[in-house]
Amino acid sequence: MKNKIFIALLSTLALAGCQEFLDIRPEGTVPSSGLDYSKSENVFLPVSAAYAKMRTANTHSFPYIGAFEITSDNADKGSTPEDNPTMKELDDLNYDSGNGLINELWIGYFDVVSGANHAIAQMPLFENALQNADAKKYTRQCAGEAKVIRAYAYFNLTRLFGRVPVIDTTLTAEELAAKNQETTDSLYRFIEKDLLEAISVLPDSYTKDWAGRINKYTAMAIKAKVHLYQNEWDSVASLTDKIMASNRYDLLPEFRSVFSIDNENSKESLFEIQSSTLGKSTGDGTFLEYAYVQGPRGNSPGNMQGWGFCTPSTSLINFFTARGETERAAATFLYRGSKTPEGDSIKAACSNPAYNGKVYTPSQYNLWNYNGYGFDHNVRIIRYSDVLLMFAEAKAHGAIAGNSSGFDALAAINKVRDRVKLLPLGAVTLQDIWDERRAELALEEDRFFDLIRTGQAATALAGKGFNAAKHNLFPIPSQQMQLNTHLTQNPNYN
Amino acid sequence: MRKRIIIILVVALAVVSQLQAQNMSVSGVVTDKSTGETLIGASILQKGTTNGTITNIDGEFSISVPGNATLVVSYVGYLNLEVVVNNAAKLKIQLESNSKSLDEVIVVGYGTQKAKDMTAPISTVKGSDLNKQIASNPMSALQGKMSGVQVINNGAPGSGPSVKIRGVGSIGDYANPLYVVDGVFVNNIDFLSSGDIEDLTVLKDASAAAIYGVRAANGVVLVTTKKGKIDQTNVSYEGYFGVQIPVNVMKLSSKDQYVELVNEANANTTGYTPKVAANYPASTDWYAQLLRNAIMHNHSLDISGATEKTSYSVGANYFYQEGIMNAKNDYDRYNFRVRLDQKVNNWFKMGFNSVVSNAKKNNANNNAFFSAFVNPPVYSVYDDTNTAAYPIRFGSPQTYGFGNQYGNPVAAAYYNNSKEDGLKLVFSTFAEITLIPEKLKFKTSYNLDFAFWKSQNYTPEFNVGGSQGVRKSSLSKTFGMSSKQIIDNLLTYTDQIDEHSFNLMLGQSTRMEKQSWMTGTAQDVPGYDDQSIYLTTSSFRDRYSNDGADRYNGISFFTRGTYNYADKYLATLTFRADASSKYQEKWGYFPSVGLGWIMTGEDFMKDQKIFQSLKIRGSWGMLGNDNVPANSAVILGSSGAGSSGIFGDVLVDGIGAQTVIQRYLKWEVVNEVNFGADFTMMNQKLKGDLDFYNRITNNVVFYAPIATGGGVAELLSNNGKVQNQGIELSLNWGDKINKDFTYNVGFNATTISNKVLALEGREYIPGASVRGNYTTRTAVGHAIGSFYGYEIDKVYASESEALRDPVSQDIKLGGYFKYKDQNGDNVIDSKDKVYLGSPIPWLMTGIDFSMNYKKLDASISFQGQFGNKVLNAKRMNRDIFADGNYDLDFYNNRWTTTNKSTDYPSAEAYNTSFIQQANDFFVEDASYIRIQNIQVGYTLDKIKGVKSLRVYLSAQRPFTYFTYKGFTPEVGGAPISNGIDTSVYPMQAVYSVGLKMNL
Repeated sequence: MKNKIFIALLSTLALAGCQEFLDIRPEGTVPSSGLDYSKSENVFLPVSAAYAKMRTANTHSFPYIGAFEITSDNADKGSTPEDNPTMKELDDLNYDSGNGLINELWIGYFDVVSGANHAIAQMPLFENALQNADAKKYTRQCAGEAKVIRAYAYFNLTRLFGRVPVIDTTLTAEELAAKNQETTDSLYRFIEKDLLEAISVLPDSYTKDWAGRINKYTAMAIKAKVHLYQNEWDSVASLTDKIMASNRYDLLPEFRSVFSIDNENSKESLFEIQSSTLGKSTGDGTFLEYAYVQGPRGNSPGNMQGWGFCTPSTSLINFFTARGETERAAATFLYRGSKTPEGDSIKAACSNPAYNGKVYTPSQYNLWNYNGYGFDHNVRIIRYSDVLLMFAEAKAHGAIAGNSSGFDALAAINKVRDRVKLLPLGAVTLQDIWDERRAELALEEDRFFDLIRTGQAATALAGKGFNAAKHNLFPIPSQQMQLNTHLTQNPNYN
Repeated sequence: MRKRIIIILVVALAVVSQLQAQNMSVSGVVTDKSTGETLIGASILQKGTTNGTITNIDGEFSISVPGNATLVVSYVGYLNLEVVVNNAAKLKIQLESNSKSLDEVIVVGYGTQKAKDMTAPISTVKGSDLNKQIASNPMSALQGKMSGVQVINNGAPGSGPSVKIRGVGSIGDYANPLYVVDGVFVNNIDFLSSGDIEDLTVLKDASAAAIYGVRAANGVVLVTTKKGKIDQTNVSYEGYFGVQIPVNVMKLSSKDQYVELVNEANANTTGYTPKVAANYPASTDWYAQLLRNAIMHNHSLDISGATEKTSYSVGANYFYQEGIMNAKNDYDRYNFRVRLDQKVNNWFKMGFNSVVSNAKKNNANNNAFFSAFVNPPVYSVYDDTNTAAYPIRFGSPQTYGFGNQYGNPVAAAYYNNSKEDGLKLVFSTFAEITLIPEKLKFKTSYNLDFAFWKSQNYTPEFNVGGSQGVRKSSLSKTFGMSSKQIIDNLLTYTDQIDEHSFNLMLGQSTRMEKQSWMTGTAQDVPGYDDQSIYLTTSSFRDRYSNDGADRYNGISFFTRGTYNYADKYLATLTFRADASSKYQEKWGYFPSVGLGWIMTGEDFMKDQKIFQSLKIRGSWGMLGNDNVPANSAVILGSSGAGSSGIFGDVLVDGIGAQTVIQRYLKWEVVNEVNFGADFTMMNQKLKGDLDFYNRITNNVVFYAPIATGGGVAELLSNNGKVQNQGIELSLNWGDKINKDFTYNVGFNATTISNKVLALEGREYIPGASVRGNYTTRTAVGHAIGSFYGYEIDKVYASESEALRDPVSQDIKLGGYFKYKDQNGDNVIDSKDKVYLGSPIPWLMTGIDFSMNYKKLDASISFQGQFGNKVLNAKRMNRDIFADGNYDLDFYNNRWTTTNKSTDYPSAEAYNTSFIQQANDFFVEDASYIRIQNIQVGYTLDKIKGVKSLRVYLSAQRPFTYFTYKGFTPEVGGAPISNGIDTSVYPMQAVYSVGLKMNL
């Protein structure tokens, strides 16, 4: 009985400490504001998290290849005819606002925006708490990286949807649900501002163990592309010229090797999304299925097969043949019934005649337990050849800026051609550059928006019933319109 | 139906010492006052002495007593009667049945109350009645037995049912009732056997439940485990053995039918090569391959007894159920139970009660049922030519060119190796001090729910084909522990002044809950035998660990007053103040009032003959719900691989966070009104309760989707107001035709009308995303989780008919649905979507018949639910499983050019996303009516050394009728995504033979 009284007393005592007793933060958590801001080694934590948001299925895997490439004349849906009608809708330009893949892109890129916003907001807290001037400077540099990430996400959102809300800070759910869309113009102003601020604080380069980290030239290359999409030729020329004049980047000697695992983050690479199994065979998801979903369908063994989507179209193969492409054709097309130089057989029983060769990953790299293919394959976003071709296009449009590298349009395009053993051109037209882009960047998710940008889409995609008034933009996903009733639909979609 | 415990207190106090008198022999007969039936074994006791006898088989007795003695006559189920002998040699004694229940005592929160004083509708069922059902746990057995209680059973071994009391008030997955086992709060009572239970009471309205305000919003189930009864030493065994047979097994298309359908579907697909049935080796019925008949059995042993000072009850139970999936899939559980109550002296009482339960479960891979549905029926389970497969040569769909989304369903079930092992201890102990005899008591108790569990998932190295296979074995193990402690302190005062009797209780309660777990995963674990399956034996390289915990605290103060004036006017008042760490608004306050009027106690009712008793009740109250996830006031950081960037092939630590502000969470509170009446009629043969309830849940807490941009898809918040209202009716007719034949008919029905009243400025909350499209809406003016999509007008008979139709829609071809143009604008678009019904039934009902003829007893019970819908999501996967199999119903009824169905699409249309979305083809009626149990028993009582022995045959769920095109229309789920059938475990009938023996 004494025990009982003791317990009774105890519970009364518990009341005294009531507030403490009742205020419990969930176990196993740290408040987001709980970083030690006075430690410089913590500065990168939120930025790293922002990078991680780009390594997602929604942003750079199945929906990505669908909206950015399969929609174009370069690629077909692939796989078996009856497989995945949602992707088929993209291939046929026959989607509406209910298409799940388009919705995933919206969610994915807005998650990147959120991750970047968090990192950007955390940097001033570090800057205030840190004493050392270099450390303070580093916080501004890190904020710059996050701004590039945000700008990249908005660039893709803008290309996809034309008009999306600008979210640049922490909001309430009600505020999010009441956000209005910005015009394409003001979105580009927002993107350029982020990139401009980033360029002024980012370093030229990092040590090797930071391979894949965003530097000043990454920001410049993205910004050049942003201007490219607005036909702002002097800006394109000026930025690409600076990259070329830096002498930090160059084309690798052999085109096919650009896409090997060993040449990831090479001197040709300005921006890549990192995907890695970290040398393990199981564990948390640190990789993308970007290459896997494009791997040869029905091939064997298990680690040499994928879903077989985004297969090269007849149009693309014919285009290569007509141009006499050999180097680039060998790298871009992976035919069934063939054997790769690395010794892998692509069985004749595979579902499709050819697959995307640029994501080919030799079996020795495919060590994941669950029959994975190409999990270590990074997604190439901007390569140096893209920089050269953007420069060439700007100059061909008569840009007067950007002369420090000593290149002109012809020199730039011929540098690209020379590497793949094509004869140099004597004169260059816009069409030459656009065709060069197609051959160089085929199946690298550049083509669909390039066709729209250059106005070639109506002819190139006539067979798919391309209608610029509609297909220049994707529909605002119906799910998003349900969650935020302030959104308005793009023209000609329900 | 209302069942009650009856505690009969035999008071035999003699204070007058009798003058020595001449004894005389008195004989007589004891009969039932209403039926005139003789009562066998009634006890006759001379008052104030131990001199007594019992009536014989003809109800007669004979006793030698003084001529002025008083006899106390008692019989179970009847009111005691005192008879003065008055020198009469022959007595005719008539006992009145106790069914008026004046002295019935009902377990209510923190105490008991006389049934006649109740102002709330309370349903009680005896453990022995639950035990009649062949079910793995008591709540499953309750299905159809009680008004207001919805039980959705699941066929998987050992899996508990989903239980809803008076509709669905909470929108998150927290709409479950509170279970209180002998004062201990538990989440469910799956760990108990029906045999452990003395009685189970459901508190439904606010007046009764408000005393558990902290977690009472979705109803309270009070469970009392078995207790010893005074002067009855009882040793009993009860057991059964049964065979489970899968019922309502779905039929799928055969090879030929499948090939026909796929070719038909792709006749217009460019590049499609028609499939040829002869190219495939087999026609496999995957469901037949996955299902089996299985056994189950149950054994309970109980020993109990009591003296004036001590009462004890000890029990042991063993239950085993094999799963009907043809794989490693079963459940076994043993329980031990001990209860001891001791009166130390006339002011101090103490006791304890504990239940230890150990359950082991081998889980089935439910996904195999879905896989069986979609897998082409064209290859065989085993295939010796599939040399890539090991260790077993399973057939692979990839051998025949099917995509990696397909895998052999039998192999999927076979290579699944998932088990759980849980040990649970429910312990409570109390001390009670009487401060003023019979009036003021103080009770303190400590209640503990402690559980330890372990789960293990092992996948051996295997290959079948495609992506069905792993090149390294893998193991995941989790150890978890939870403890929930409650300390209650109660002060109770009971008194009676003239015709005013009242009771006042003051209480305080402190709760502390903690749960923690740790998981380890590894690869390359040798599967040599069970002794080798450890993280320790694995490859060191791929070993990971993780842990987590939850912790909640709560403090409560509560009080209850009950008042009875002259057995006519009744009142119950309660008030509870609760603080919970889960809410930002810490304190919630929950008052309730209940009033009752016993009309038959009034003089003006004295002469009427219609009602033997009639009570009218009304109550209002508020109830809280803290069975919600704890909400963090601050934004939490997220770490781990998903928040860490990769640089130079190395993961660099990162910490991210959402960029949307957390919400301030207020208490979810139910506001409930109840009106009802209890009555007995027709000479007590007819008993009934009728209740009307209206409950409104305010500040409903759940994770709701938010607009994209904050880094998370949903936030926990208070999202509105939900109403449940309905009528509950229970009727029971019991009659005794003669001394050999009695029968009883019970009926109960509950209606539920569920409606969302407000959603805090939102129009609706989307739910149940199937392939990236929401299929339900929780919207103002509609039931929670209502299905939302297109209504089908008809199926176009031909393209030309479609083209003549002025209404435009995306696809207009023969064999395609014509959706209904709801707004009449001649365009089918999302504006034409409508509500297609909800997964909440509007009527649930149960009927029981039972009869006894001499030593033979028989019973049959029915239960059903009506008006609810289920989404046949198995059929809604054809974007991914475009060349997957079809159910036979679709094959038989599909639209073809020669057989133009008016409600089924063509095979081609079926595959399109235009058809594959929520519409009333996929939203089906889930009404069903079922024979829940048929039982025939025979009691033997002439066996030496055995008080009684009953043997019985039972059929559980032998027959269910429904129109739904699936295994079972009983599909559970979280409220906003309820009734979505993707891979529901099939139901089984159980045929069993059982035995009950009292020593």
